[in-house]
Amino acid sequence: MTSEDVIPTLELREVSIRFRSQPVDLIDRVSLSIRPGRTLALVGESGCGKSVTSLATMGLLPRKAATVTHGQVLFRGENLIDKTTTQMEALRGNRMAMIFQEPMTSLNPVFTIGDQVAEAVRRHRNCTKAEARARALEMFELVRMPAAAKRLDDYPHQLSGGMRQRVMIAMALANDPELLIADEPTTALDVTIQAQILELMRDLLKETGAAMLMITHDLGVVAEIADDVAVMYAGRVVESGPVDAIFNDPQHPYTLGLMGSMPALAGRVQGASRLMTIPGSVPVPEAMPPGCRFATRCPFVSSECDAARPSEREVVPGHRVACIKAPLETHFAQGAA
Amino acid sequence: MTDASLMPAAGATALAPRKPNRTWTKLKKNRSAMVGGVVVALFVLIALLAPLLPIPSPSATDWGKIRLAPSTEHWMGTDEIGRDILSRMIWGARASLMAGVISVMIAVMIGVPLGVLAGYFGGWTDQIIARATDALLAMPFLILAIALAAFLGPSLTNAMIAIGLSAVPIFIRLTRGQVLSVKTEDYVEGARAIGLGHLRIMSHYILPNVFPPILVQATLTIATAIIAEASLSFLGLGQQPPLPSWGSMLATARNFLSQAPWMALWPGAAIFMVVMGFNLLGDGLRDALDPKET
Repeated sequence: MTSEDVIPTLELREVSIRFRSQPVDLIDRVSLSIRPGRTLALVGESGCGKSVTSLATMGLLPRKAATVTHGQVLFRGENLIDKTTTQMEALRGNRMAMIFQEPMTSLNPVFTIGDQVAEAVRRHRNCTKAEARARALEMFELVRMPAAAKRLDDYPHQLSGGMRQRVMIAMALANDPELLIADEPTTALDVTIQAQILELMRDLLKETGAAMLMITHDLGVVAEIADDVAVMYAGRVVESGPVDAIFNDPQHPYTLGLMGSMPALAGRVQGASRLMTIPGSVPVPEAMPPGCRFATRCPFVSSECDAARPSEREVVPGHRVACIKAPLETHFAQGAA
Repeated sequence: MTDASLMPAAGATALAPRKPNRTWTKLKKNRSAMVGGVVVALFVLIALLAPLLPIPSPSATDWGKIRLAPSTEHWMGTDEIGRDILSRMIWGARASLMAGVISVMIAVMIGVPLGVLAGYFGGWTDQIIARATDALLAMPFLILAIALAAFLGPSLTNAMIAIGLSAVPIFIRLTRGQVLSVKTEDYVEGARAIGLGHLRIMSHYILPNVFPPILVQATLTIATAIIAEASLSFLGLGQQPPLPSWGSMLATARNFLSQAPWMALWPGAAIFMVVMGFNLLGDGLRDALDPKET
């Protein structure tokens, strides 16, 4: 494969973001890369910075409160950090689009859903109202909205959560974006609808060839839809790689905790028999550990962990881990000996 | 048209809108709101029909019929220079209602955009607008209106401008507060995510969603503005003689309370009725537009 030659649809290079009045960078040198047609899942618990990363990519962070202090956000090779507000507005909803977590509140209650999808079309295309409406109908059919033509003139409150999320997807894809950012698109839906929406998104991505950044904390969703995974903890990417590598051979202690796949290894660590939950909680910005940010909760912590930020190491090509004890197996072999 | 009204059942099934207007249904069920609505509608109708009604001119004097009590000839009696009070009441309704509606329109047209700007942008825009609003709100509404009217000079137009300007801060503050809560809604973020600019978001995503409470406040403020116009006219700062207004009629009637109490009774009762009508209607609208109440 010549995958290295292709310009990634989205590439974050060591992006740091600091919020005003906070002592440390909330997002600390995050690097990600999504190639055309691929789906990257950004995984982590609440407050780890997943959503901030996605909003920063879209240029939707409040400019007064948050600043990108380091790094580049490259969209098809163009640095988005340098773009003006107007340039970003021309990109948003056009070449890059976003789906939000809460379909129940993400649509304007006073306009029909047809008008709202048409609005996204008219914003970026030179077309008449009728053409925009036709495009909206086309999109409704694409997202398999039952009785699409009748639904055009419905108001958001007349639709179920799953239907509204279909509208959101229709709106996001209306201008054939190259990048789709989905911020927990299925979290607010019930399980059967989740499966339908995920299947729909997978099919649509295949049809349109768009790349997707999927934000989620649900590993089931990751397994379902992602090609690659990046695990975030307290504002840093701690582990990244192809989905199979992460699921079959998680290397970072935090990923292990997330997977709940500890028992086999845990038996060797001070007799702990179950580690299905990760003890403690995410450190607050005021009390960030100086070295590895997971050190306060890590079962394998040692004094070196606090010395410096652990550098990324590649355990196998494409699978990177930011832990000084990686690969874990070698360290355990030593520890057991 | 005629067919539809003759066959409501058939028309309803064929053309029934899929979303029945919930607000209207709720408003219709609210008896006091409907009473208020009918009272207001009645006064508006009378005011509009004033030139067509078979009544004497409101400024025609008759020195032989001074301060007559209500009779079949003069239903509401006559005033101190023999003018027909019924006619003056009807023509005065125009001044009062116009003052109420136009001054509130002035207040809404200035206050709402400023409130949207302050709430949406925040920062120094908000600081300036909000501080100015606080300063104006520190002055009692009527005192401010009297001061402005005196400054602008006595006329009905100036009275309306004065009342309108005095009511501006009420709308700025209300709108700003509503915008602060609406602008954090997901659909506003969604609008930004499809690349819409500030102007479009303010006009299509913020304004329609803050509108219901503004409508309620406007209805209630019309009542206040009518009283304010009556007060200004009472003080000689509103409608100028010989043109009639309820406020100036009250002011004159004050001198003849013992000899001709009806001169004060009619305008007083009319002001009371219209103000009550607008208040009932406003309260009803508030309940009907509140999504939490069923």
